Amino acid sequence: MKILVVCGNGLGSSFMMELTIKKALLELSKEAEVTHTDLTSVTSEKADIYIGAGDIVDQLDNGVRKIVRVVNMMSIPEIKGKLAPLL
Amino acid sequence: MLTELLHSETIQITNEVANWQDAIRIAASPLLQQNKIEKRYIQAMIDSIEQHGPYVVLTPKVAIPHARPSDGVNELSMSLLVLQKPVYFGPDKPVYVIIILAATDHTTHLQALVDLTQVLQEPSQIDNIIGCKRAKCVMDKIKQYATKEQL
Repeated sequence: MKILVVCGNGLGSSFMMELTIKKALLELSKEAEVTHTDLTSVTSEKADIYIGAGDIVDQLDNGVRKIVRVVNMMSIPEIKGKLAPLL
Repeated sequence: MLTELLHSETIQITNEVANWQDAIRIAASPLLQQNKIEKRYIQAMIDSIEQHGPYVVLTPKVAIPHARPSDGVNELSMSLLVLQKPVYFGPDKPVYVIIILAATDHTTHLQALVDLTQVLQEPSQIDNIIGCKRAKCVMDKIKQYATKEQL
């Protein structure tokens, strides 16, 4: 299972969300590979789940990809709730 | 590391600003004055939000505007602006805390972001920072929250 966190620049928000997702996975007792990238390099990386702010990940939605839209990127409860059904 | 970047010279508190673009300009002004960033970095942060939407509002009430190292960053730096009245980054995105991030590459700023995540993961800690009337208070709170897991 690979989870790719996507943001506009791949520098700040995606890394902070990656930390939050890792904590959420720990609390769910689930294991997954979590990495982050920016919107322009995302097409070269394959993942099982693409996660990020709605503004960003909506641009990746091709009807096939599994997309998770996060409102509060620092919220462990929100991320747990949205990831749990997909793991 | 976060406390080395956010201190009395990079933390500001103000009552209100005209719009989110001004919030970014004011928040980034200490870094411009200290020559840590070039003026074009400020425009790049604004352009990035205009292009991608207000995704820099990572968590309610907090925005972390940033652009690329190549957009005019001279030295790894951060600055923080607390607003007494919110500025709207989007129709449902009121923001009280603006944290400018200026990174020089993809790695050296990561420890500061680990620390910042500790601060922002707890909504009550954000509210306590918004309640501050002086930069010293903001500094003390950040120090307390950023290091709590090591204690």
